[in-house]
This record gives sequence, structure tokens and C-alpha cells, in this order.
Amino acid sequence: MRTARTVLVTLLLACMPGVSFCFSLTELDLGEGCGVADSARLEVLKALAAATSVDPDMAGKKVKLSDPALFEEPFVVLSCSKAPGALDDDEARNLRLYLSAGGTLFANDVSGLRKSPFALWLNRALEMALPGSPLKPAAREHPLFKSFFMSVAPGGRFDLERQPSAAEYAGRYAVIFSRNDLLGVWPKDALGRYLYDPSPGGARQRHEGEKLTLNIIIYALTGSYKQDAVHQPFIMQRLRELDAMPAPAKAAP
Amino acid sequence: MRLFIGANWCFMAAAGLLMAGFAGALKRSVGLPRALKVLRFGAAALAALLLIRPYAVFYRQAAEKPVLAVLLDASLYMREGPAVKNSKGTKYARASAWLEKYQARLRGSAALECYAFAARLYKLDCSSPSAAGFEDGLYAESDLGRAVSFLAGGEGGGTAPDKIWVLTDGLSLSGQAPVSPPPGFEKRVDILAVGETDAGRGIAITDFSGPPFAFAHIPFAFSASARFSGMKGTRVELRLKDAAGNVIETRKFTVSGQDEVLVSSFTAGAPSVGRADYTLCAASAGGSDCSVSKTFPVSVIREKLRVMYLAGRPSFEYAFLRDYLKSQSGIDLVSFVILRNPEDMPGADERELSLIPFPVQEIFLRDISHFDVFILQDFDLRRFAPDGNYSASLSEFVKRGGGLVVVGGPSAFGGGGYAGMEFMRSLLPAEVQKVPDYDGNIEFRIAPLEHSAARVLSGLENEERFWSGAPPLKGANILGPLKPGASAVFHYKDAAGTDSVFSAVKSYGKGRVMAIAGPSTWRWKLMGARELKYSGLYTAFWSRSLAYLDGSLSLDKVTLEALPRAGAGRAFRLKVLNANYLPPADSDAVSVTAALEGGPAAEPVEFSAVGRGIYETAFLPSAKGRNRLRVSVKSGNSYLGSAEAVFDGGGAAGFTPSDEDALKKAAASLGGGYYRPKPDEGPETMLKALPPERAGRREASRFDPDGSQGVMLLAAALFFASWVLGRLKGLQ
Repeated sequence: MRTARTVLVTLLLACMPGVSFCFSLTELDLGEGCGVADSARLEVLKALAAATSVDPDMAGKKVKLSDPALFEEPFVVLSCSKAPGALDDDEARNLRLYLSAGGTLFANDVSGLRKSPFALWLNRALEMALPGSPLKPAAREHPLFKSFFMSVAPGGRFDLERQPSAAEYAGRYAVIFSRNDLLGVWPKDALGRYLYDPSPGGARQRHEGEKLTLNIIIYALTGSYKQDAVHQPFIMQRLRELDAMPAPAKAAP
Repeated sequence: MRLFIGANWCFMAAAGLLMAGFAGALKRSVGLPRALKVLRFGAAALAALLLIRPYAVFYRQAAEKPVLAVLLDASLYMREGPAVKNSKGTKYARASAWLEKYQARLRGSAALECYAFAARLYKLDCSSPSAAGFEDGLYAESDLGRAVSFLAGGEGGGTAPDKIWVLTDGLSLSGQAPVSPPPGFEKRVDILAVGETDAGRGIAITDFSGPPFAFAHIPFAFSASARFSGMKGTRVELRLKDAAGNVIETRKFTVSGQDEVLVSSFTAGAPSVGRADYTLCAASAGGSDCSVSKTFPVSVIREKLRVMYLAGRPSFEYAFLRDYLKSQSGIDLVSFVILRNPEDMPGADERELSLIPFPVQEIFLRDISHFDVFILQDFDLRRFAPDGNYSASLSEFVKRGGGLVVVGGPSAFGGGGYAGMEFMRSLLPAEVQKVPDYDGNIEFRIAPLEHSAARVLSGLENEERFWSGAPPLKGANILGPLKPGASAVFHYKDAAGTDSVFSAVKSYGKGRVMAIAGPSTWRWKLMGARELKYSGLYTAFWSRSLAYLDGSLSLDKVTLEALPRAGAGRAFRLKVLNANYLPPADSDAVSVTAALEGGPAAEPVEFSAVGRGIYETAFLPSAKGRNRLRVSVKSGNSYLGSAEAVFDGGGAAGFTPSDEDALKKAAASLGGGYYRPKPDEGPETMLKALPPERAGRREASRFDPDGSQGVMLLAAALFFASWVLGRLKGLQ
């Protein structure tokens, strides 16, 4: 009986491609002024699926900061054109627990303003949630810029900064914040034409924006793996040297 | 002749004052007859002389005997067990009887002083040097260096002896550093061996020791010595063997003397963690059998756990687990994740990618042996070798003692075609479907089974409630039935109530394999953050799993070993590992509580730290019959473990031969002679080495005015003459 059920389940699974998703682009729902266009989400996930070995879940998901389901999504996106409402204590506590336990927040500023209300709000929110971990420009040598693509130039719909900012917690970037509207380079209309033209760099700026978006996702899925790759030859060399110490000569019993 | 003053400084001062006062009085006595002045001065001078008590000693020439100090070793070895096989008298009794018998002859040649020494030095009456009277040091080993230094410093009560004879069996000197003579005391200490040796033809292992703890992969040394008697010219071998009987190293010698001790050292390395028994075997060259052998246990621990982590695709499981492994100071991690498969189209120039070729050959064929644990997560081996050939390498890795974790995912188990790979199939603890078996939507909570790897958190009040409230996991490969010899560690029930294995383990060769059905343990960390009691579940699960795989769980944190010991005394060594299976540091605040049960009440036993994680004790059994030593160890407030040893406190001590090698070494280091007198053999041979009598002087007579009748009469005569002369001169 049990074997039959197991066979049935596995046959069903074999016939249902797409149930083995390991990544979804979940939105952090903070109300009016925030949200990711379906088109942008789908284009990002299609590019992710095409370029990498990640099997993304195309379905749209939203979670609130007060929702326990937040803790089932290790990567959330907050894309806003204006400042959301101030966080209450429970929301700030949840955000702190989420980020300190390994969650990653990708914040995307859609406003295109140098003095953006959303940026001010995010700084205030992080002061409450992660005091001592302010947003700072991400270091150019950080694995974020080489997690999949070699990201060497600014990208996004706007050109307000050379590189995104990040809040570091326990040795990793827990919050990554782009003022250049990285998600703005993705959406297309029904005819497949891009909705927005990146300015001033045009297609090249769009391409860099696409690369950086995917890098951010891969960074969330692999951590500082690319940093390891730099050190691995040295680690391996050290292990080999250690094992090359005089070992007992073997003799026949 | 020599003059001495017997009074102290007070009387000397009084005599001076007396003479000064009298001289002043005479000066003022104008008109006093001169003869009377002389008489009175003479009387006063005599009184002053008596105050300072002078005396004269007269000598004559005479020879002076050398001072000989005889030291009887009173260690527990000397005082327990027979001196000779199948006899009753102890070595101490034998030595003291010899001294008693020949003490008159010794006195004829030397100024004799007798002592016993164990931890301290005791003065003895040479005519009855019995063992009574120094119970404090009764069951201690003896300290020859301290005793000799004590006597050399003249602290024995007299002058430093010209010669010291030490009657000992040398067992307290075994394995100790050579005793150095005190400055200026070279060649003055002779060793007189007591007790029978094993001098018959044959081989005896006199020492085989190594480190109590050793690190896996890092070579460590053994020291060994064996005694070959009556085998001059024979070719012999010392072999070091592992627990399986494989010869690790062989040393070959030709015995050049009738009674020769050969010393050697060996180097060994342990590939995996756990207790490893090594055996020293001494035999004639070419013979496969051991004439004698001795085993030494080593606790092999991990300096650092070397982990290779391969993931078939980026995932949160990979990100979280890699982060955890990187954060552990005791882990060296090398990890690779397959970011892109050949069919993926990045939509960019290849030069814009930061990817490096996956070094599959290096990992599976060249470097795999450098690791202790290999984690394979959601990994499809067929992508790199169509026939899954690299699984053979994994199989060999585990067979040699490595640990393998296979974590599920869409490309693992059934989805990875593991069922079609012969080596992979034989490695895994559960049957695998021949079709994809991953269900990404299944959500479940796991429950532990009876297995050491399942005891993730200690001290849970209600384990069932804890696990039933734990964050649910999501996504799992549906594993088939367990294979023979495999054990399930955690299981779960799906929505339909079907019981399935979440994790299972199996031994394979010298190593272990763990299959974990789902790649979502990261949920324990992220979702567990909301509830304090689950915040440590993720790290505890992986820490326990890795400890099981590398064999650390098979190591007891607290182990008690009996040390070889002669006589009724017992000695034990306690080996302690901290929570991470490493020798504890000071910061671990280890405390040892021990009690000896056997008598009417349990007696506390004190262990002394002799090294990092090593504690030793020695004591007398509480009672005849069954004794039990119980030890409990804590690190701070955390219980580390306990151990006990049961032994028989009765039985007469057996015969222990004296250590002639140690005795000869001690004699050589002290610069003196080595003798083995027979019980009925007198001390003449040894007396020849005594320094000759010195030319000296002996007191012939002495003159002390204080007790002299002549001086008393002279004083009376002076006073009487003075009185008579004064009367004649008409003085009052």
C-alpha cells in the first residue's frame, strides 16, 4: 500500500515540472506607494531561470512585516516611490529578528529623487531595526558585484549612485538599497517593449542594471561564496601542506 | 692545644667591668702597701677569669673515618610485593635486613648514618631500620633527587656524608628524568639494587607510551623500549601496529649485549576521530608472531573539521548552511555551488560572467582525501560523469573513514539518478526511487528517533512537545525503505499520515553516511528566530550531525583509565574533552568531582591536572574486595560526563622486578657505582669505594679552671694572704 502511494506521488511529481522552486521574488507589503510590477517580477525571474541554475517560482507573493509568513521568505523586495508609513514596535522587532536571523531585504527606490522620502524612511527604519548597521555604499570588491556577473558599471533606470548601499550585519549584507531603480529596467509592455528607457546610459545602463539585479539575488542564495573562491586555493594549499607532513611509512603486516 | 672561652658576651662584659672597677679603686687607695695591692689585684683577676670561663683542650694525632649515609628506598614499590618471585619478604624488608646484618661491619669502616626516603627523608636507627614510623610517605613513590640534595646540604643533622648508598629497586625512577648530583657531590652516590630482575632469557617491553590525545591527520609519536636478555647477536624487531593489526612501522636491531634495552620511537597518524588502540610488538626478526606486546589507547580528536560542501544550485539551504559552517572556528570549509548549467543562457558575454569552471576532477579525484566530511546537496553527479563515476570516489572516501551527508533537493536522490549509480546506491542508508522523488510542496514537522545523532538538544523537558511545535520544514525527497544496517534518525508524517524517513544513517567501511531528505533546515533558523526556544535548533542540528559523521560522538567526553601500578596502591588517569570534543582550555572551567566507594563511607578523591584535559590520581583502596571510583566532570555549570572504574582492593601485591635499566641510568647520572649485592654478600666490595680515613686529631684532655680544685685553692690563698697582710699592716 505504502509503496503504491510512494510510486503514485513520485509519478505525479515527475509530471509536474515547477514544483521544485528554490526562489521566489516576494514583495514586502508596506501599502500604498510600494510594489513590484508583475512584468518586472516575471522578467527578473525569467532572466534568472535562463541565466542560472536557479528554478524560480513565478507566482507573485506578498508578506507584511507583521505576518509570520515573513519568516518563510529569506529574500524580500521593497520597491517604493514614496515613504511608507512609520513602523510600529512589532514591525520593527520583526524586521530586526528577520534580518538578524539571515533574511535579506532588497530595497529599490523608484522615485529617481536625490533627496528621496523613501531613502529617509529606510534609514529611520533601519535605525530602529538594526541600530549600529547603517546603510553605506557597498564596497566595490564585495562579492555582491561578482556573485554571478562581473558588475563593473552603475546600472538601473536612473544614475544617482555608482553602487548600491548596504547595511551589514554579522558579516553579510542584510539590506541592499538601490536608488537607481534597478527593477525599473525590467518591465515590458504587452508587445515586449521596455516601459522605461534608462537615463542617461540607455541600453548599456539597462544591461548593467539587469546584471546587478541578478547578482543581488544570487548573493542572497549563496552568501559570500565568491569571496571563498578567492581564498580556496590558499585553503587547499594549506591542507595539502599539512597532509604532506612526514607520515608513517607503511609496511607489510 | 687550643683555648676556648665558655661564657657568653654578658659574662665577658661583667668581667671587663669588674677589672675596670677594681683598677679604679686601687688607684684611689693611696698609701696601701704595694704587696697588698698585688694580692688584691690577683684575686680580682682570678674572679674575672672565672666569669669568662676559659678552658684549654689538648689534642693528639688520630685517623678519622669517612661518613657513610645509607638510604633505604621506602616507596610503595619497595614496601609491597615480594622481592623475589614466590617469596613473602618485601624489598624493603630485604634491604633493611641486609643493613641490620652488616651495620657492625659498616661501622668498622665508616661513620654510619641511616635514612629511609620516600616523598620525604626519615632518620633511622641503623641497628633496627624497620619500616615503622614514616606512614606519611608510605604509599608514595620515592624522590631520590630530593633526598640526596637534602643530605648534601648537611640537613640530615650532621656534616654532609662522604658517601651515600641508595638501596632501591629503581621502580620510582622508571620513566623519570635522570637524577643529577648536587653541586660538588659528584661520584659520591652509589646505587645498590634491591630485588630480583627478570634477567632470564627473553623479551620484555619496558616502556610503550604516547600522547593521551592526538589530532586526526597530524602525525604523533610513541616512545618504546624493550629489554632483550640472553639474546646477544640475535636480530630482533619492534613493530608498531594499529587496531586492525596492520604494521605501521618496524624497527630492526641486532642485540649486542647479554642484557640490553633497546629504545626507539615511532610515528603514527590517525585518519579519523575516535579511540585508536596502538600495539607495540617485540619479536625475533622475520617472525610474524609477537613474543610480547603492549597496547596503548589514544583518543584521536579533531584539530579542525575539514568540510567539502557541494551544492547543485544556489539555494537558501546552501546560503544558510555555508554561513553556519564558515562561522565555526573549528571548521575549515571549502564549498562550491553550481551557478550555471550548460543549458543556461546568461544573455551576456561569457567574459562578463564571474564563473570559474567547476573543478570536478580535483575535488573528486585529487583532493577528496584531505576532507573529513563531504556534503552533497541537491547535486546531480550525472552532469559531470554520465555514469555517475565520481560516486566511486565518494565510496572510497567513506570506506576510508570519511563522513558523507547527502542532502535532498530536486536533483538529489531519485531526481539525481542515484538509484542508477552502483556506488551511490550502496552508500545510501535508504532505497532511492528510479524516478524524481522530490515534493517541493510537502510541509512537515520532524520527530526524533532513538539515535545518538537525534539527541540534538539536551535537557528538554517535553521532547515531543518541543518537536511538534518546531518550525515546519518544506520540500523533501520521498526516501524508500531503510537498508539493512541503516538507522533512521528523524522521521515525519505527511498530510496523509504516511510515516517517512527524514534523515537516516549508515556505516560504510570505516566511515558514515547520512541522508537528509529535505533542503529546508534553514527554516529552523529563520522561523526559529521568532521563538527563543527554537533559536538554537538549526545550529544544534548541524553541529550534532557533523559530530556524528566525523566520529566525535563516539568519543566519550570523560574517560577513566587505570595506570599500571605496583602494589596495593591504585592510579587512574582521567581524560576530559569539552563540549566541542577538544581538550578543555582554562576558559572551560572544568571541575572534577570524584569519590571512592568501598569502605563504610565514600571518600573524596582528588585529581591533579597534569596536562590539558589530563588529570591523574593515586590512592589506596578503601577496603578489601570491590571498590568503585566514580568521577563526574562539569564545565562551568554544564555537565560534561561521568565515568567509573571498579577494581578489587584485596589481593596480595604481586612480584614486580626491579628496574635495572633505571638503576644503571641513575648510577651513571649521579657518577657513582652500581652494585647488586646478594642477601648473604657482605659490603666489602662497596666499602672499597669509600674514601680512605683522613688524618685528624682527637681530644686527649682538657683543662677547665671552673672545675679545678687548684684554682679554688689559689683563690682562697689569695684572699687569706691579703687578709693576713692587711692585719699585719694594721688595716681594718
